[in-house]
Amino acid sequence: MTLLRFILTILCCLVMLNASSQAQSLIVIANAQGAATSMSSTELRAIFKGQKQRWENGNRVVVAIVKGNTAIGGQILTKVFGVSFDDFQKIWLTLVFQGKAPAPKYFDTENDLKNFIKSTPGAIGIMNSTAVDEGTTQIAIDGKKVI
Amino acid sequence: MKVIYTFFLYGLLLLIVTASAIAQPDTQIRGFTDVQMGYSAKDKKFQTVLGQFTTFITSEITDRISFLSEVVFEYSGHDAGIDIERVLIKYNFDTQFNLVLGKHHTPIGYWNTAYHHGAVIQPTICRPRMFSFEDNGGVLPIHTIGLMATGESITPLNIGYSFLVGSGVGSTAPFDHDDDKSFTLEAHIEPLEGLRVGASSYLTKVAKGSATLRNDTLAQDMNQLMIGGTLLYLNRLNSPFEFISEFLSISNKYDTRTVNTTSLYLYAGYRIGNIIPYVRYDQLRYGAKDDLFYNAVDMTGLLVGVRYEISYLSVLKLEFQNEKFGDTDAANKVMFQFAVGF
Repeated sequence: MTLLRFILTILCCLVMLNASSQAQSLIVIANAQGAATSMSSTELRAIFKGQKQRWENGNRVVVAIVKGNTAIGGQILTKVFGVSFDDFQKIWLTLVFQGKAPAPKYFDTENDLKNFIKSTPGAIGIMNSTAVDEGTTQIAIDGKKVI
Repeated sequence: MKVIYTFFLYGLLLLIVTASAIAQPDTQIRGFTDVQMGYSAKDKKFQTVLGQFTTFITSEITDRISFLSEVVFEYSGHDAGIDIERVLIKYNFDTQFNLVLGKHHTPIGYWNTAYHHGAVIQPTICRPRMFSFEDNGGVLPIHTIGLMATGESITPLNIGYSFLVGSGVGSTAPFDHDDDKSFTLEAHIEPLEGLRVGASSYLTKVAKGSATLRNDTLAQDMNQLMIGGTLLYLNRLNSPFEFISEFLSISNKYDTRTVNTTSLYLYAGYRIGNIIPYVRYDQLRYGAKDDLFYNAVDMTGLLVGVRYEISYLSVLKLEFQNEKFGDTDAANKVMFQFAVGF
């Protein structure tokens, strides 16, 4: 009985770990006409804070993000940038109000985000790794495909 | 009649903008406004007033050309007036270099370009005395029409700059009244996230006969030079402490003498969740009571307040304000503001 309990406990832990890692498997995707295939996390933060506005090929950086009031949207901002959706919007409101950068594009679903990135040169976004498909470029961050 | 005309104009503007928004999917329309309530111990009066109503329009016209406008509806007596505060056309070469043409908030210091007319964005109910608007007796040319080169995020020190050549003091939107132009240069570094050190200067010549802030005309030519410094720390994601300080020295040089005026403010706040208690000290000291350009009334102010950020578009502020103008007794006020964006 004790051995059975032990095995069940281990199995439960493994299931929880797996679920946890699945929830946090995020990737950065971009339109092929824009971002390089790899960048640092510092550069990624700079992009999502409006501090980088042009790619090397001259295309405008277009930040795309799933709305923070969705489950995945809130997770992205918290895990990748350590900010709430409200803080993220405040940062961008200040930039837009000062005329320094255009506002990000907000989407209700990852599918909408993905379709926008596929059709918009210079666009970049973050989404769940299970939702990626052809037509977008996956960007390695600090050498890792999965954040 | 004036009110009817004003609202007709507003309705027409809204119609044009809505049509533009339909035609241009990258056009965004936002607005900001606030309501204030307060009690003045000096006047022994409790009152509720409307703040400015600001419409804010941005549009991505092409991949590199963008447009921004800020139109404010202000209340004066029984009438409402329209003030076109900013109209900007920007060409973006890169983050480090942009050319912007139009009516700007003059890039002197930090507050004037960071906080504009949206009360929901700025940390206190009112602007510091040195940044009062021109029609509120402010000492600075808050707006300038001209061409500006500006950039940010240069080198790991995050150097930023703005260089604006524009119309001189006393010019209006449709009429640049003389050949003398103004030159504004601002530069700053952000060596650490949230820490900014900056300097700015403004130079212009105001011709004899120009309108002054004393409600008369200038008796002599005046060369005006402003030099200011900024030190601030704003890093809401990593620190609860926030601090902004700015200093400005204004030199009005006439044929017979030079009058120096100084102004400063110090703001500090501490974030506890969504609640930020704060304090601000303001000071404006004119070099001479008979300066030919300024209506020289010294000012000292201290305010203590608390701000509650419901969301990034809705903020409540409550302040105790103590202000002293000239030789009059200091006056106490308690002010409350509900500021929103939409």
